[in-house]
Amino acid sequence: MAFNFQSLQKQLPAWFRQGGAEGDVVLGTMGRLVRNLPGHAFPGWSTAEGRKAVADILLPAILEQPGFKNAWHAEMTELDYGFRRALLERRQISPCMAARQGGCHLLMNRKQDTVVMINEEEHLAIHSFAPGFDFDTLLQQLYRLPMGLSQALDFAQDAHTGYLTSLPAEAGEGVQLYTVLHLPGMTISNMVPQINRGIEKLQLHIAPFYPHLGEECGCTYILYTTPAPLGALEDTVAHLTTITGTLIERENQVRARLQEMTLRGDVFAIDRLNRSYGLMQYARAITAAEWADAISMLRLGVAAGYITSPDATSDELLAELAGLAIQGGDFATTAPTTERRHPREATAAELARCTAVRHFINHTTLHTAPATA
Amino acid sequence: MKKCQICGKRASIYLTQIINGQATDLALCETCAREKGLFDPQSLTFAEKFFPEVFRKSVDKIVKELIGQAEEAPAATPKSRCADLLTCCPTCGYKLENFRSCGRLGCSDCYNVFASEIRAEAGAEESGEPLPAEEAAPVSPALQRSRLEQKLQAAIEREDYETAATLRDELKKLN
Repeated sequence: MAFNFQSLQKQLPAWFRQGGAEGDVVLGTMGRLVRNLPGHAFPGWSTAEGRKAVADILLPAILEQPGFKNAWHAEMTELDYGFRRALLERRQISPCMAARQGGCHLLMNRKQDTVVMINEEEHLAIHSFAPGFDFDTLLQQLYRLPMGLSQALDFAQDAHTGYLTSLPAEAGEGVQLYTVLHLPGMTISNMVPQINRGIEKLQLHIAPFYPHLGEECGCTYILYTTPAPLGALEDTVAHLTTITGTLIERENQVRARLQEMTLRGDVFAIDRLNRSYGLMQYARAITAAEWADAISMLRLGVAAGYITSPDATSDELLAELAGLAIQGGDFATTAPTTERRHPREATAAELARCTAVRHFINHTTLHTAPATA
Repeated sequence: MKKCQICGKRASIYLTQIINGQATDLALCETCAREKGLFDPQSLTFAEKFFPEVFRKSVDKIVKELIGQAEEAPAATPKSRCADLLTCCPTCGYKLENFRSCGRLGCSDCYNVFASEIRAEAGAEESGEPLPAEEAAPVSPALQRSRLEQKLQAAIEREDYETAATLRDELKKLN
């Protein structure tokens, strides 16, 4: 079935809406799995005929797998630039795939939790997403398709190296894992650069979830491993779980400290929250950068009990708002989104955000002290 | 002025060959040198040392003939993209210089063709780790041939012609 952008816009990915264990700090987990076919040039080196030959092998095999029989499917030439950008913002496709053309295919299951790219950097690349902090679910999702395909297809592998990839350093299990972290406490306390230095020594990396908004925008990050070497998948999962756990603990400590400061009369943290709420309440055009920052602060306010909702849970309202941030496809615009522009230049997405915000504001109350305290 | 050791005319070519520390001098005129095959690039005696470029081209040609890759073959297949089959993947035509410049490989068979380069990149040579590609399970004839070609090239470069001859025979057997 062909992709329908309108339908995808209306239907938010389930993994984005649902919470999970540690759902306030860990928004979700992501995995990337790659495989290649033996005897075929990798996509970066192959010809149009070579890519077509690979697609002719992989595509029918994938469409026979459970969960993909009625999957959305398109050749990259059929997808316009705006749609590619939207998928890129959701991290459902890689930047390399966003630039691909003929012979390269994209498939997405109806739950939108698994995206398959044919002839990306590798012959087969799968991105999978799971809500909350649950690597077991993620890995089950991630391996379901390649396990099914391995009944019919051979993947290029070596007994000593593992699954072979176009970049030798990435050969091995062919799997890379990510956690999506929401760290407003550490961000407003300027602790992220310090955390970053420490994490690099542990062979992990942390990067903004929306890199195109700049380092200072938003409080959402991805923490990720390098591709797991052969036989090291369990160790990689354990390592990432441990470090994520440490970051959750640290973030919660910082948040508790900020709350203590607020209760003692320090207006630093509450000022950021109130400003964000005020922006949401009164702005008539919100840029992507402002949006990302304000959503983070509102999430923090909801988690700390400063924002409550009588008729719906604030988490649900927030999920809708956050979902809007990844629907428009305007986060990746080349225009500097961090700059305040004249309201007359506001894009449709910026105006749409304000309409959605009104719904959030109308259904919530901002307190001067935590409602749960 | 030396005279040609065959016809007595004025010598224009002087050759010295040292085998096991024993030097042999030879002075020849151009005519006699041609008659004795010193200008024949396939001669593996003096010419290989004194006309290395001619000799190398000759070896390349022999290798190509051995594996049915004559230069006049059509230029559309990946194999024919390999101007130098000794540093080029026979499956996809990816060259060693491509790997050196971008760090990526052309296909899964490149892992065997450029095994030593990949190990060098990973720093495995310094740590003395086992060579995965060489220990790997049975490989296809194309890859085996490619490895032999690499070894043959290395043997030629270090002027180890006995090994080169053995490798050439092995290549012949593969065909």
